[in-house]
Amino acid sequence: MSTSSQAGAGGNKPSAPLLSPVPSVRGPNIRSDVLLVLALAALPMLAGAVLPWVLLRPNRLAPGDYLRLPPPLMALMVLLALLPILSARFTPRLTWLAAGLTVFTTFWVLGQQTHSALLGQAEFARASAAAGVWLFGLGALIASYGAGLLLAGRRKALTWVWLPAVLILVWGGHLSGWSVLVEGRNEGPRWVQELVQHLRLVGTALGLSTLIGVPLAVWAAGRERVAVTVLGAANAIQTLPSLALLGLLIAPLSALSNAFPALRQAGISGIGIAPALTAMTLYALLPILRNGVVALRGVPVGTVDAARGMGMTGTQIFWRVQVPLALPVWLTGIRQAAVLLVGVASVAALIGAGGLGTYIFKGLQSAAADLILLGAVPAALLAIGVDAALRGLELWLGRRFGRVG
Amino acid sequence: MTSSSVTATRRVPGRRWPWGVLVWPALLLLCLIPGVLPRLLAPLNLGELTAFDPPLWRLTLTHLGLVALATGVVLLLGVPLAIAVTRPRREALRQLAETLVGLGQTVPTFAILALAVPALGFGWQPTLLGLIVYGLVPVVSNGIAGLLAVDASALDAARGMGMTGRQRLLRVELPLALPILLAGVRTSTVYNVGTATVGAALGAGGLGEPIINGLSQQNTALVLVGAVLSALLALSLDALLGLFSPRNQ
Repeated sequence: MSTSSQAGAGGNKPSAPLLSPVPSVRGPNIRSDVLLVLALAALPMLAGAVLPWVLLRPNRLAPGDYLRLPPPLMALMVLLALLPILSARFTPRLTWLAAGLTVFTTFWVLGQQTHSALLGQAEFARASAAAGVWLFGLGALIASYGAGLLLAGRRKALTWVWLPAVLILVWGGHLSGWSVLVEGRNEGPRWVQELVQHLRLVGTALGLSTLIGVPLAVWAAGRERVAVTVLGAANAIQTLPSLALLGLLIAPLSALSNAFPALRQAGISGIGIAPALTAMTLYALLPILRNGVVALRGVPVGTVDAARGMGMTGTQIFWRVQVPLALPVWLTGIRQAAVLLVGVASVAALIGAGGLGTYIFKGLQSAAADLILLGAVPAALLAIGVDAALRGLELWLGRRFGRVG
Repeated sequence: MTSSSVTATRRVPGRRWPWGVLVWPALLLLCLIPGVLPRLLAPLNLGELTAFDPPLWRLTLTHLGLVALATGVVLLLGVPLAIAVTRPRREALRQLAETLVGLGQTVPTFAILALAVPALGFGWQPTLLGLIVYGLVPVVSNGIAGLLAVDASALDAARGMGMTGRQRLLRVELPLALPILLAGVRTSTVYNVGTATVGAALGAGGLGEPIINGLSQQNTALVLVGAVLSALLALSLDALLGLFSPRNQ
């Protein structure tokens, strides 16, 4: 960050952490702010408990009725909303259990309510989750995040205690009445195909842009003028809308295929997988190139000098000094590119490249909310998963090669 | 408090005259004159361009309006949020805010926009909500970073001068954090120009409309019209907002 020059100049006080939360600050007063987080989590849960939970429609497009929870269940959910904060106040060691219980109950009640709403309805009737579910679920997740702040080290994993339980619910068919899963069951293998297509698009584009971007960054980093130009261009292209870039890149391709019919037979045209991959590769090239140049130029000159003084050859300096030191920042660029690509791939459905975006566009065209969810929620989870996985890889590699700078 | 930061930015050495402030808006206005853009694109022979039904200047204004409205709401929500979570004894709240901001950065924009449709229906409303959610990310994260980077000794000196907490915030912390905060506002606005083009798929109008229409009709000239105009709009706003913030990186 550009602010680092200010930090550290202070007196004996440790300078404040910039971005990442520092675990060592967990002092005696953390309890009061965790209570604040849990109180913040209770608000949407309380609102969610009294709002409607189920939208029952005679078919997937028709308008429907909003159903609230029956009064006894509503009272139970109100109590449950207050459970995490009460637990943190009186038995802080069990807060994770109380918070996990709220998340689990959200799914359980959703399944139970959708099932009971569909009883005696025709086959095409759909029961979707209404505002209450989303608000209660949001609050429950915040509560479980807050509960995680009370846990240290390996015990942090306990915040995810609800996940296996929810997976068992889904597996056991308890949620089978929920309209999104009904839609998903109808799509079945086709949905899996689109997911695989999405992953294939992201993987291919990421692989291609890494293959092109890494040597290019190495070449550019050693040349002052080229490096400055590359960084400037990368920053300028980042300001362009991704949809616009997708369109702009398609223009030359379709012009080419118009001019040379042979190319069209080879599958290169303005629509389909080839232009989507071209656009995605170029888009992902930017963060990889930028972070590569920044990382390689960030290797301290003194370190390189010391290595030269030890008698290392240029190749040895590159592989044993520059690459290990530059790797963490570089990997951050690749992670940013991967996350970006998951998003761009969902827009690429517009030019017929397939992927999860297909469902989003289908849902938008037919105003079917369940189809939108079927595409958008997995795309969002995919991005979060890719981010987490590559972060893990960064940590592992950082530990392996020693993280400097 | 603005005057001090403006003089601080002017002192940055090697700062060139920002030509972009003149060039990009001029090009944008030139392209908006009816008939100019179709005539420029005609030699490329990429597709037919008929008269635009909502004229291009109106699409541009819709686009700009959406982005401006979103930026306004983002400022109203984001700055107090960043201030609230950086007060002493709010460590947990700050971690929550940083985690949520990280999630906002990770989740695809198109997914955020699409998820707002079931709640708000078709039209400009889900796009506005998406733009606000997405625009909050850089403003809140830069606001937090800026406020945390304020030197502890500066705060100590302010306390020693007898300033109250409110005075310290308004006269010391916010002015010192302002450059980073403004950089966040700039990022937020420029990115939202791009995000708003995707909003056309949700019926928001704006410059994404020719892009989406062109993509689905396989009319590349139409795509180019939308792409060129939204790119020029993004570059214009970037240059204009760059006047207020020091060049970073």
